[in-house]
Amino acid sequence: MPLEDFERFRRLVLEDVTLQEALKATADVPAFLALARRLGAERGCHFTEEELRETMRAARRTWLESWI
Amino acid sequence: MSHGPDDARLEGWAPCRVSLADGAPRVEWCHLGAQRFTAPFFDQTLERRLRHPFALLFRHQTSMEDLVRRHAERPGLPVRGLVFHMSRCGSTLVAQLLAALPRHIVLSEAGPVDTVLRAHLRMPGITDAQRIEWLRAVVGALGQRRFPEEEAVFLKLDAWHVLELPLLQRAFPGVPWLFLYREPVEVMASHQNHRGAHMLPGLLEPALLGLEAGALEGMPLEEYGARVLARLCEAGLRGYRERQGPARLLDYRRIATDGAALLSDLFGLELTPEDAERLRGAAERDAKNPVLPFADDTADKAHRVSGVSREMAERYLRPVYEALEAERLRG
Repeated sequence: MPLEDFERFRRLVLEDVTLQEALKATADVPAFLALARRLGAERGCHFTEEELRETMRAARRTWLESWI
Repeated sequence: MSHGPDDARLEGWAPCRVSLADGAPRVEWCHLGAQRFTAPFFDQTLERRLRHPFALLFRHQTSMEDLVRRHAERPGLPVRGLVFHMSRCGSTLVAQLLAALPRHIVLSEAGPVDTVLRAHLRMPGITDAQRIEWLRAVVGALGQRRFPEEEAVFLKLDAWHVLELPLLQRAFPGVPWLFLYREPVEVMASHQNHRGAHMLPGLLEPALLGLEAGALEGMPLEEYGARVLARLCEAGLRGYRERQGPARLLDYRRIATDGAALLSDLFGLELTPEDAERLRGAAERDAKNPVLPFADDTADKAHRVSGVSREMAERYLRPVYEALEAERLRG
């Protein structure tokens, strides 16, 4: 399941400072998505660009809802 | 996953949100990168940072206990000042003046601070000692030095936090504080255009306003708002009269003339000519929207206020406003 793959990738990233450094250094969204997909795939976590974009939209919604 | 007090994984991360769901406070951490707390409000600074996809997608979570343990090891920079206010009275300008100096970290109406201060309303049984411990831990984590020039932390609180002034003084003993207020009709006029959260029933406990819950039914919003504002001003006045350490009252009209000198004196800012220039630059901008120049809207507010807002301002707010002015003039 792609969402499970992303959750697994998220946990890996939060534990791995080297992975974080690469992702932090990439602010441009298309470049970030490509990098995240590549780093994820190298670790057996597969998700599409659209799935990542939807995860970002959901994260933004959750963030904004918390202020209401 | 447990995050011990020395957990290097949290280096450069800051508590962006505290949630009280499921009976135990959880702390969410955001990676701040080079983002400083310079926007008019804390959540605007976070919004800016969350434009970076990494900050948006990756956040650590810890328990409040982890945060408290971490605070013991890493207390953060000292808190040097607290800014209380009645709302719509120049407090954002004061925060922006303080934030104009790169040696300051200014936490302006920070959500995690508010959540902790009101935790006892959501989680029965939370003691004042716990709230103080959590508050210090949250502020300590937000007040970590991330840039070499940073030296001190200032808290610009939400308007309703003046009701917790005694607890905040216990949390940060001896730290100088300021209470800002403004001509009542102008404040009511500002809320008439766009009401603050505390001006609508629901945010504050009726008991805090000296009202029975049933008394709110049918009460006009203008009356409710004026009573809230009066209660906030009374808390500021009482805190000032009972002050144990350095404190000042500041009327909106005096900010332009006395603001910089008062902040410098109260908070020991020791302004260099370069600092003074930075303050002048901040004062010339619209505090809540710094891309715009400052425009004095005093006359406009007085002109546009509704009859009922004016009446409520006079009935509920005028006496405490005059008492604050009298107290300020006594020094």
